Formats: sequence, C-alpha cells, structure tokens
Amino acid sequence: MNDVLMFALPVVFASMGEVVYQRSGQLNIGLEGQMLLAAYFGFAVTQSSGQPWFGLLAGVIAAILAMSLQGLLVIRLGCDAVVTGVGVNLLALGLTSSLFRARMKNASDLLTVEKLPRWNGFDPMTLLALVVFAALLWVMLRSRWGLEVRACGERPDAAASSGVPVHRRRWQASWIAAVLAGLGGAYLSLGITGAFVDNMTGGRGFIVIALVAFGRWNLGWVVLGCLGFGYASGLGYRLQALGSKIPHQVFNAAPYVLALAVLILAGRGRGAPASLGLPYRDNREAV
Amino acid sequence: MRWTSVLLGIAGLFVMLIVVLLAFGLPIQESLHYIYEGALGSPVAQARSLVRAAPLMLCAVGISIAWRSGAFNIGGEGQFVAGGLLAATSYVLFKSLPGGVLGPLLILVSALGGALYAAFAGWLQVRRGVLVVVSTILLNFIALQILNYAVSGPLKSGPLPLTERIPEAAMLLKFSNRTDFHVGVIAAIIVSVGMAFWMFGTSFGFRQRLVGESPELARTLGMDAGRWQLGAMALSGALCGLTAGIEYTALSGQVGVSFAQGIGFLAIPVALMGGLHPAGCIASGLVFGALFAGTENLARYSTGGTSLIYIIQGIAVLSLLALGAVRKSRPNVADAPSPLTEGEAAA
Repeated sequence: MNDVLMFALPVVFASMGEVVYQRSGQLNIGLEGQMLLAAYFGFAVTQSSGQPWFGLLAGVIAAILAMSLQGLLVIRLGCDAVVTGVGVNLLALGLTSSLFRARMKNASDLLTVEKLPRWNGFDPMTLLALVVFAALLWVMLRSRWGLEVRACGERPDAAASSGVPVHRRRWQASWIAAVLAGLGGAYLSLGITGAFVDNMTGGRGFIVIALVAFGRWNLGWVVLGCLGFGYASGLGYRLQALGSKIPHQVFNAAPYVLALAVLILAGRGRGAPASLGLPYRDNREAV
Repeated sequence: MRWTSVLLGIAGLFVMLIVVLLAFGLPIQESLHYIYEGALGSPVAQARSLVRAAPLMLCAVGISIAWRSGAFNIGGEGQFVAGGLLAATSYVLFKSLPGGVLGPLLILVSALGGALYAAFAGWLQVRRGVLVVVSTILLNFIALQILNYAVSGPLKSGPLPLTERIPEAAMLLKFSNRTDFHVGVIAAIIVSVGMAFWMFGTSFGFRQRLVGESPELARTLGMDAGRWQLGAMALSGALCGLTAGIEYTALSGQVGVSFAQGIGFLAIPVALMGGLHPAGCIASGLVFGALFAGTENLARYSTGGTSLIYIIQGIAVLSLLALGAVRKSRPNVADAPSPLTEGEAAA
C-alpha cells in the first residue's frame, strides 16, 4: 500500500493540476519540464539547506516560474501551446542537467539528501494530496470560480460575453497547475529517491496527460488512474526484486505502454473540454 | 531579407551562448576558445562539425514535414531507434550478402523502420484521436526500452551490450582516414534539397502542407485530411530512420544503448529555428552541428557540456515564438494573416 502511494503521489499531484489546467482550455505540454525543474531545485535546495521542506518550496517556486514563462507566451502572446511546451521542456532538461553537472563537480558532495519526513511511517504528503483533492473537487464542481474555469475551457467566447475574464481565469488555473506540478516533481527527488538524476521525470509529465484523458477530465477517475499507475510501478519493482525471469526492460516500458493503451482505448476525446489547446484572443486585442 | 534574418539569428545564438556560459560561471574566453577549437579550429574539427550537422538537418527536415501537416511529431528519437534496430536485426539475417548490397539495404531498411514507427503514431492520431505529440513521446520511451533489451539480449555479440559490427565493405565511403567525414553528409544535404522540392514543388507536398495549414479547406476540396497527415508522418519517420541508417553504416557500424544520442530531440528545435523549411534546416543544422562539436570539446576541459545546447535551444525556441507573436500582433506589418490563424479565430 505504501509503495502504491509512493509511486502514485507524483502523478497524483501533477494530474490534479493538469485537470484544472485542461478544464480551463489549455494543454500543458511543458508539464514534464515543470516537474523536472521542481525535482532538481527540490534536490539542490535540500542539499544546500539540509531542510527537505525548503526544497519542496523551492521546487514549487521553480515550477511556478516555468509556468509563468509558458503562460506569458501562450496566454498573453497567443503562441502555439505545443511548440511553447516543447521549448519549456528543452530549457528545463538543459538547465537541470547543466546545473546538476556544475553542482556535482565536487566529488565530496553527498549524492543523496534527506528525504521528506514521515510520521510513524505515514507520509504527510498523502494527507496533503487528500486535502487538495477534496478542495479541488469542491472548487471545480460547486464554486462559481470552478464553473467559470470550465466555461473558459468549453466556450471561451461565450464565457467572455457573460463577463468572465477568460485570460485571468486561465492564469489562475495555471498557478494551481504549477503548484501541483511542483509538488509532484519535487516529490520525485525528495519523497522517493532522495537524489537527482538527469531527466529523472522520465516522461511522467506525458503519462499524466494520458491519465487525464483516460479519466475523462474527471478528478475522481483521474486520481484512480494514477493509483493504478502507482500500483503497476510498485508491482514492477517488487517482481524485479524477487528475481523474476521477465527482462527488466518490460517493467521499464510498462508505464508507457499502459499510458498508450489507455489513450487508444479512450479513443476520441469525448468529454474533453471543447476548446482544449486553442488560444483565446481577448476582445480588446482582436481587430 | 532572408540573409539578414539568418545572420541576426546566428548573432542571437552567439549572445545566448555567452549569457549561458556567464550564468554557469564558466570562463568566457577560455570556453569560447575550446568551443571554437572543437567546431572550426582545424580540418578535423570542421569535418566533425559537418558529421554532427548531417543527422540534425536530416531529422529536422523530417520533423518539418510532419509539423507542416499538423502532426507534431516529437518522436524523432523513437523513429531513429526503430530504424537502427530494424537495420541491426536485418543485418543478422542478411549478413552473407556482399558489402556493396548490404550497406544500401541496411540504410533502406532503417528508413522503413522509422516510417512504420511514425506511421503507427500517425494512425493513432488520425483514426483513434490520440495526439501525436503525446503518443510519439511515449513511443520514444518504449523504443528505447526495446533497444535496451535487444542489444543486451537477442542482438548482443561480445561482452558489451552492443550488436555485431558490420563489415568494413558495407560501411559508407569515407574520404580520408584522419576524419570521419563520409559520403552520408553529402547525401543528407542532397536529400534535404530533394525534400524542399517535394514540399514546395510537388502537389503531394502541397497537399501535405495544406492539411496542416487549413484542414477545413482541405476537407472542402474533398481531401481525406487524415490520410495525407498519415503520409506526412510516414515520410517524416522515414527521414528520421534514414538518418539512423546513415549513422549506423557510416560511423558506429553497430548499435548500442546510446545509439540515438538525443539526435531526435535536438532536431526539433533545429527544425523550428529553420522555419520548418528544408533550406532553413540545413542552415540551422550546420550551426548546431558546429555547436555540438564545440561543446563536446568544451566538456573535455570544464564542467560545461553538451547539455548547454538544450538550454540555448530552449531559449531560442521560446524567444523565436515570442518574437513571431509580437510581430504578428503589430498591426502595421503587411503580413497577410495565414489561413491557420483565421481558422482558429472562426473556431
């Protein structure tokens, strides 16, 4: 059970943010990069300060900064979300690998840092995830703000004409997505391994996008999908540890095959926000 | 006009390089010296830059074809691996063939492997609605794991996880013993020029671009947009696979875990900076090939390495996007609005 949660938590956090983000009509291809930055800065700040909680905070801030850059281009300037995301991912990969290399030139430095604490074996981050889940469920389905965000994802023009500030709602959804991507990314280095390696997110950002489509943009189903992902990852490691005859590459490839299978089964995105990934131009800017 | 923007772009990249070096606290003059020495300083270095540039430009041309058709193929890496893997497998089956037949066969098979792998992703988008941008990245990871398995299992020969080396007779021609400069570099440029003709001089290329530029118009004209997109994906993958075939038969002669070296990833920004046009891809391929060779040399003497290129590429892609958006939003620019943006405004 602990295994399942441990492997699931990074994707649980990130996917809850991604649901809000996509519901607002945006596609976060840069999620991988935001998580990677959070994983690195979480590790680096913990190494410097000795305080994993500071690391977690630093990871969240790094993800927010990356998202600000992305939002500036996508929301403010109306750039293509996919190309922007690819740029953010490249930047994140280069920055983290180069910074890590520069930081590790002193061979005397410890490669591992203190992990986030547990309370008698219970992971407080699980509690945080639960609280966030409940809060988001209420906000997205019961609050006026959530309704407006969803309207921005379905018909931004209609939302705007009934007085919803589309760009502001999309920015706010971006902040939520960034904070959660930061928590998820930092948990990779601070919750699971206590170390950083190049490109350690290993495509989890894209797996999250797949899981969100699988869960039909519905928080509950998405989180359930994430738990399934965590279960599969944990099972892979356990079988490997037991000395299974199956080559380890099968387990390494399993999450990606699973994500792909899920996408194929989900088929055409019924239930997807109608304006997903389309830029919205404010009336003030048009003409 | 074209040339000024190319020069401005190169100047911009140079400034970025200096800023990145500064940011990492690397000594500017010394680092630039190492980069220069590694990229252009000697005939050997120049040859190495060209050898690095060839796969980047060829993959970038492939990626351009898919992106222009509206399929955001970021699976160059996976298609490269798929091509190399199929070629290495067919080597085991056909190794008795004479070298003069075997070499070209391996290159063709490699292109086929890339094409099939990309076509699968294209099919998923066209028929199952799975975005290529998501499926290709998942397929990248899957291909890398299959490669890892194949070279440490069924295709392994010898103590290391490497496939059997192909005979010298099947390798591509090299012009000198001192450098790696091979006939594949010239082939890459010829194929890129050929693809420019394909994209902008034939009705097939025009249709592939039309499908990306304005799917509605394409449908109005009675075109099966999905089929053209699928074709563009297959061609895109074929070029990435072809790149792998050339790298395989010209340089490595065998396939290992790190066969792809990130070429498929690096080629995406090369394509974007080349304006998704083969001519631009040749130019930006040359620039980044030189930068690649230069930073490899830098890595030997300092903590700065080839990962610096990713930063420079990331900044370059994002600033290019921002520049394009700002220019478009200025009303006095005489640019006619592209059908793509009109379609989006209507949607």
